[in-house]
Amino acid sequence: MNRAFSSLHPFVGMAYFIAVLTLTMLYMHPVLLLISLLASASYVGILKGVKKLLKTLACIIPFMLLMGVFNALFNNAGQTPLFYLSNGNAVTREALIYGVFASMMFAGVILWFACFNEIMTSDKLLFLFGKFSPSVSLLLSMALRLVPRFGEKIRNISKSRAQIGLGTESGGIARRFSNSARILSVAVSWALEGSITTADSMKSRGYGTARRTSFSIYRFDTRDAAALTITVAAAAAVIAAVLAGGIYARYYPSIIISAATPVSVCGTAAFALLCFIPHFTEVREAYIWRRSASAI
Amino acid sequence: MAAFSIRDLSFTYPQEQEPAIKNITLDIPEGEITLICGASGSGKSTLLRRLKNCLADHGTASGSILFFGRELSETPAQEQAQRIGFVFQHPDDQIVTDKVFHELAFGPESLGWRQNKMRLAVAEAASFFGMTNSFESKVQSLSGGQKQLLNLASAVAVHPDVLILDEPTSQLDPIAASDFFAALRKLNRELGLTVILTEHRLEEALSMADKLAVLDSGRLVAFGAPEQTVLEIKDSPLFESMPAAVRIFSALGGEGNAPLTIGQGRAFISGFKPKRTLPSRTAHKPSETAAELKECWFRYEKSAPDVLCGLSLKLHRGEVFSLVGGNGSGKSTTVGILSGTLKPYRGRVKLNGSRIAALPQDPRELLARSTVLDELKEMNAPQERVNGIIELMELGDILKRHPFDISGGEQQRLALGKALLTEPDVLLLDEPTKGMDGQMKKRLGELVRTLAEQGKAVLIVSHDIEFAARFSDRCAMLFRGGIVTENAPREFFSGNCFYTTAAAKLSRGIVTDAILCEEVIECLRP
Repeated sequence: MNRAFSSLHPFVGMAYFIAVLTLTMLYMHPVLLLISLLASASYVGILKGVKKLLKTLACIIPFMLLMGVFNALFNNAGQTPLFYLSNGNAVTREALIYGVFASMMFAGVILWFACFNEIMTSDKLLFLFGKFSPSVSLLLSMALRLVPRFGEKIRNISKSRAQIGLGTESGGIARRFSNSARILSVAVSWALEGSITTADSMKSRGYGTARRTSFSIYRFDTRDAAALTITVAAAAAVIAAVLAGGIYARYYPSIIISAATPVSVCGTAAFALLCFIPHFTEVREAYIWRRSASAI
Repeated sequence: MAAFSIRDLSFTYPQEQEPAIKNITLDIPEGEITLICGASGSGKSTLLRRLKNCLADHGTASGSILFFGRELSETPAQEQAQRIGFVFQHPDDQIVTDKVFHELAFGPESLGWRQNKMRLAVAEAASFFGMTNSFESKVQSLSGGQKQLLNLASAVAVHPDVLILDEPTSQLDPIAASDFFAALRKLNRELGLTVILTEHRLEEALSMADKLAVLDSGRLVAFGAPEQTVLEIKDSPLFESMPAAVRIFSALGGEGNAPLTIGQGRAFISGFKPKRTLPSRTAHKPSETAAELKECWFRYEKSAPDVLCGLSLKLHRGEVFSLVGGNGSGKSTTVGILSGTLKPYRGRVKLNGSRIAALPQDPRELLARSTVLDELKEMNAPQERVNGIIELMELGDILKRHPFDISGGEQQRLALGKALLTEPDVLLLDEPTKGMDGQMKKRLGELVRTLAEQGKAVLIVSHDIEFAARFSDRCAMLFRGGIVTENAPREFFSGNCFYTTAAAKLSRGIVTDAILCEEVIECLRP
């Protein structure tokens, strides 16, 4: 679906996801993690619908619990023992809390990747690859074409062979196995045969005669520039706040989490801004559309 | 000025004695459509590939080729890539990338064009060919005809001066082929593009060609305006592949320019009075039913529309039954149901214990060994049966060859031989004439008749009306998953208006019930 955020230039999308993923993974600050989790979960909801979001969460939550429990059981760093296990290992308060936050980070990253998959389609990734290496981009594009074709060919061959009694479902195990191997071998011969024509077609269209350029269906306009500026500025503000010591979290041996200071509040606000850029873009687009529609 | 001036060109493949093309001298005029015809293996593709250095086969060549007055070999590769467009036979294999727009941009990208120039070229090509709606689609989602149009558009996107096409419509159904020819004609008429083309579908291609070149065993036997050139090859076996109008004109002793289209042909025979009527064909005696479908319903997915809607048909022993119809009418699905790979969700398939074998559209799907003989042995049949098949299919000379190195017609006979080794009572052929020239079709048709005489029930599903009219005992038209009409070929095709043979269209209202060229000629001959 062509959402407002996904209509931005691939550069912007890529920069955004790099920023938000790195910042989520790098600093284990509880407030940042909470913001990131909320933002990613709600954006998955916007992109794929609430039903899909609940399904995804139903998969993630057991993993989160498992991670928390495992960390508490097997990691006995930390200085405040809560109780002792039968093998003498301590379950510490620090490990328990760290487990909770680590699983939150894990969930946030998974959810951001779900958004990434939705926004950064193969076309956009190909375009970005094409920027630094047109040949890599071409290779990927050819692979994207070949793989489904190969699967289809295997299905056709196995159907055709079944129609003259060479199917994979008749005969003894040895015969079935050799018939399956044949299918693969036919598909490979066919692919090699086809690749001769593909190579001719590429040569004929000038492949290798000049320094390759990369076609783009994307345009970098003012909207993209604005989104990129906000992304970079917000990420820079978060990093600045971290460097200034305003955002800090340590779990072992004892828990130290930075208190609210003007610097940390600014940094956190900047992170919240970063995380909610896609939501803001969607809402703004919807508003612009409604206003222009009402003017019609 | 000639786009290509070919002087005394000969070419021999490595390790071959006989040259593939011999002493060809030919001027291909700029801005015109030149059609090259000849049987398979007459050197058409070899000649076309010599016209672009990067595609020319390895071997020994002599003679010269001038491209717009300059030696072709002195024209830089990049200039050749841009000025000479090439479209190959198989729509799928020559597509390189996964998306329509990416494919259109492949040429400009390879030539290193700048973004602005590229955008314009791609936009122009997409608009000219009406591809704006499928611009961001996956290539996979296009039909065969759309894919071939995409190949044409991609070749044209870099603004070539000459377009070379090697049997571009051989894999397409008749409607898609017409669309392709229409696009080609538009390119030539509106943009003055020089077009060089080889084709087996002469009925359509000939009427739009400005020049016709005929190759026979590597030699150029005739060249010139098609109206006259077609008559120069009257005695060659190739003449049987010429349009109905030409053959009738020649047989009835017409003089001057030959008619090429149905309309011109009608105008020619309108001056004749039928001298005799056609002998009524001996009515086919219905024999034992070998397989039967009773009100079969089928769909591929629960939510998809029905492909077969209550289809009923009977196949008799010793009978060739042709099922004709357009794309999506359910022809291949019928084959799937009869062969048991698909199951109808309603209705019955009665086989009466008959064994069924099916031949796929692409015979290569059945070829998996390293020699022709091994292919036949794969079927675990007794030696004398294998020998019998080798003789029937005329495979004796190529037993040691690799199945992927033999010609398309041979591949089909080999695959058919494999299918016959299962001793089927019913043989299903899916589009058996795809990509075949006239001679190959004739041979296949005779083979099919022989099999029917041996008592097999043969079902042919095809777009090829001429083949069905000539070689079947019964024809039926499939439309939207059901049979609309069913009859013996003469009654069937003389009753149809659009969906019928060229001879029937040409003689409608002049000769009663004629559906083949010979029949028209027989009735009108003095």
